[in-house]
Amino acid sequence: MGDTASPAPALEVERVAAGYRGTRVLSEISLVCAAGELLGVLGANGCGKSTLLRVSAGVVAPTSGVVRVGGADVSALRAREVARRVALLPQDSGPLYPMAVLEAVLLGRHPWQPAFAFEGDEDLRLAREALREVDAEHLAERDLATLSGGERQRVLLARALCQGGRVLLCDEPTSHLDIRHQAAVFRLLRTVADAGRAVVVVTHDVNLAAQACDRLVFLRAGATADGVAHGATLEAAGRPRDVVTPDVLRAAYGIDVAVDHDHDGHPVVRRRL
Amino acid sequence: MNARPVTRSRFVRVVAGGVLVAGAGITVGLLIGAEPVDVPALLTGGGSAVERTIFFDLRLPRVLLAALIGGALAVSGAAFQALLRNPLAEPYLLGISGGGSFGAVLAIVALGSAAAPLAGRVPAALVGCLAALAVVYLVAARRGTLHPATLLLAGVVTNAFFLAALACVQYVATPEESQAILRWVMGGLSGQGGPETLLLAIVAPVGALYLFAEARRLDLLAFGEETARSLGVDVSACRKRVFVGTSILTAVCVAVSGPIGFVGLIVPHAARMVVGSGHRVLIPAAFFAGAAFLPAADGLARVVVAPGELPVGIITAVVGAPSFVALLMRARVGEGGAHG
Repeated sequence: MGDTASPAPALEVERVAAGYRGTRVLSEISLVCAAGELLGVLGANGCGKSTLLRVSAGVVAPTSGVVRVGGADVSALRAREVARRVALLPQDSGPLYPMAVLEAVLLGRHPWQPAFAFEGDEDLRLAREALREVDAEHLAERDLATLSGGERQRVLLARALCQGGRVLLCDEPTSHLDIRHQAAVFRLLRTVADAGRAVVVVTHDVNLAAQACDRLVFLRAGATADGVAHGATLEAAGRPRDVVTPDVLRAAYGIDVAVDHDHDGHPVVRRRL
Repeated sequence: MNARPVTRSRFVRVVAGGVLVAGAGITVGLLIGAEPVDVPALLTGGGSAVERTIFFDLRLPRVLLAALIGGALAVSGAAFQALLRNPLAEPYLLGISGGGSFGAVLAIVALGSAAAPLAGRVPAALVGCLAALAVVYLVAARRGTLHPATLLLAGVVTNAFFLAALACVQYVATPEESQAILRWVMGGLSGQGGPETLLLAIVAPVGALYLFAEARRLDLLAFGEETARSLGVDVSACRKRVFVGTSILTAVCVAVSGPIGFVGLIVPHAARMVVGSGHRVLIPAAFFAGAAFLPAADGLARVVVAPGELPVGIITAVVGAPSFVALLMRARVGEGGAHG
């Protein structure tokens, strides 16, 4: 995993455990995502994938272990400093009142703006540049609430890009999207990674992730014994063709599947009812 | 829809427009009254002694008080709607009106309705407000953060409890006390001004600026808790600051004037329709709009049943409820037609 000769990786999660109010969700998870890499995180519903992203973004503190961004311990940084380095695309509900796309993207500038700041030319330039990067410049004046699911994800991605960090964490960006827009989002994430960012994407789409991602990580939900939750563990991590196997998928999802390979050698999971 | 980023020049335009609107509302409040006075003559040093007393000692402080309370309530409402992520929220939901009313009512019964407001019911109402807020805070903050749904429910329940206690006191009060209680609960500015105006002249601008300092974080809170966190906002600390700010600001208003309804609900919505939902322009716009609305409404309260006087809370409710319905209908139309 990763090139040991290079400087500190963009994102490094080391033996992280986390939980909420006494319930353990993650147990000793380690992973690395380098600049230019697209890393897929997969696992059953509720196994702790979103928690892993929250911990990686410094939004939730781990109960043990360390998260490093570009070599810096996230717990030692102020929230704004973390936000300048790591962008998180959460599964949020969206704005309370009508909000134009450009204004939503400008929210990404918050970690860089001093108190009592107004939007300056530089902020506007960066926001428009981010919209161009996701091919959504034409949406700038639209009300966010009127966008289609695919457009909305592009805009939220633009907000994360406008945030300026080298690490991008996306929580199920393809949920609620049709298959065309699912593919479009993954292509876009691929482009963002190729431009030099470290991108981690939580997803349920094994086949798309296997095609788009450089590496995949499978989490296995923690067992609950004697009423004590033990937290998710790492089931497998590696290149898609190495880890997308019937054994790993059985362990991660508890389902028997067949795995073929397409012309390019990407694994393809087939399910039966 | 046009994107309206909050640039410095737009902020300046909003503030300048707001000052004009507030000035217009205050002028209306100064010009109307049960007793006609020749305002231009007074301002140039003319007019009779009686007119001078009516205008400078009674009407002017009261109109300024109405402007300050209107601004404070509107700003609290705007911040509170973002804090609770609920467009129907108004500052009184926190139990402030119930607690404050109960405190005031105890003072009215104990000291009699004739006691000077600042020596009796204003401090008593303030204590009542703060007691209710403390209960709401302790209930809602048990899990370390003020969760919007918990905060809302704790506020509603606390309010209901204090209103029941108030009903209990009112039931055993004399008819004269009962009349004073009724008047207070409706919210009004009758006989207020002078020292109360000075109090609000300090509290309202300070509170509004304090909430303005949270404006960008309120934008993020209104978008979503996780988004706010991921953009570097300490959500728990921010919620506590906004809770304390809106609470104290509203509590001082309630203690002085009683619970004047609808200002904190409808003025922020009206301001939002004009300047958009960005809090760096919404908060100043709401302040000036509230500072225009309440003096005009209070002017109306002084003349509609002249020589008597209505509590201004009745005017704000009568004007506010239909306006709110109109806003709702207009918003609904906007939603339906926005896809083009």
